[in-house]
Amino acid sequence: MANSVPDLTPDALERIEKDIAGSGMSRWLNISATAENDGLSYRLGFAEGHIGNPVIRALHGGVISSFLESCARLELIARLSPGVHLRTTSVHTSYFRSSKAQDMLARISLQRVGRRFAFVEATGWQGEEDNVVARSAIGIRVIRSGEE
Amino acid sequence: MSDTPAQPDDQKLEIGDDLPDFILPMMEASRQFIQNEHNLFARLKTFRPTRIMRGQADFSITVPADFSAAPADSGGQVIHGGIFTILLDTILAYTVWTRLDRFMPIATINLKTDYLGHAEPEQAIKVMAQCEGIADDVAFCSGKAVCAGTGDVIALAEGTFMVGTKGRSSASRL
Repeated sequence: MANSVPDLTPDALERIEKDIAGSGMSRWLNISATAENDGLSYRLGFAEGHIGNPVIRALHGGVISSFLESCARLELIARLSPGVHLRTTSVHTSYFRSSKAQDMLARISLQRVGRRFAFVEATGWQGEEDNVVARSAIGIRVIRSGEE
Repeated sequence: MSDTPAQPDDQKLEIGDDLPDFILPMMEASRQFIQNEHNLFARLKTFRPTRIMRGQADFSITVPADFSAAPADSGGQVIHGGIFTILLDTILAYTVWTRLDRFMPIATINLKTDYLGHAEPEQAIKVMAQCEGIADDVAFCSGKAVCAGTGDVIALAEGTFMVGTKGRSSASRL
C-alpha cells in the first residue's frame, strides 16, 4: 500500500474520537468528524476563542491552519494501522477569503501516502462547500513500527 | 516536565525609538484583550513582548499542558504544533504593524509553518519575528519559535499579509 491511499478502517470514527479526546488542542479547537458516503468530513465547532480580530469577528488565521492540519492527521489516523506514529513537518495554508464567526467544515484529499511520508491537502469552507475559506498543503512524516 | 525550566520573567521590554505612534497603545490594548478575554491567550502562562523594533518583534511565551498533543502521537506530553502556528501568525502580524506609519487592518494571505522540534508544557519559549518589507500592499514576514534555554528551533514560519483590508464589508480577504 506504499503508493496508494489506504482505505478507511471500520473503526475510523472511534479512532478519531479517541485521538481528539487525548489532545487538549483538538478539544480546544472543538473538532468533530462525520462519516459520509464518500469519506469523512470534519467540523471546527465555533467558539469565541477562535476569533482573531474582535472588530471584524473573523476566525484567527492560525486557528484555521491548525484546524486543517489536525484534520489531515485525523484522516491518516483513520486509515493507517494503529502502531503508526505521525509527525507533522510542514503546513502551508492559503487564505482565499475572510472567514465568519461560525463553524468551519473541512475535507481531506490524500495526495500520496508513502511508507515514510504523506502529502495531504485540506480544504476548509463555511456555508456552501464551494465557499472555500482556506486550503492547506500538509507534509506528515509517517513513522511505522520498528523504524523508531 | 521539561529539563529546561521556565526562565524568570524579568526581561525588560526593549523598544525601538522609531516605532509608529500607534503601535505601543495598540499592543497594550491587544495585551489587555487577549490576557483578560481571549480564551487561548489568557490561558498561556506567559505571552509577553521582550523586544519591539521597526519590523521586528520578540515574545517570551510559556504554554500550559492544556494545549498538548495526543500522547499516542508524541510518545510523551508535548505542545501541539498548532499552537505555534497560532502564535507565529499573531506575532508576524505585529511585525507588519511596526512597519506602518498609521494603523491599517491586515489579513493573512498565506502562512507556511515548518515544525523542526517540539516543546514540552511549561517550557520557556522565545518567538522572534520580522517583517522584511512591504511591496504593493503585501507584507513579507518570517519568524521562528525556539527553546529559550537551548536555542533549539521548534518551528519556522513564513507569512504574507495583505495590508489595508476592508474587513467585514468585503467578501474577500484581499
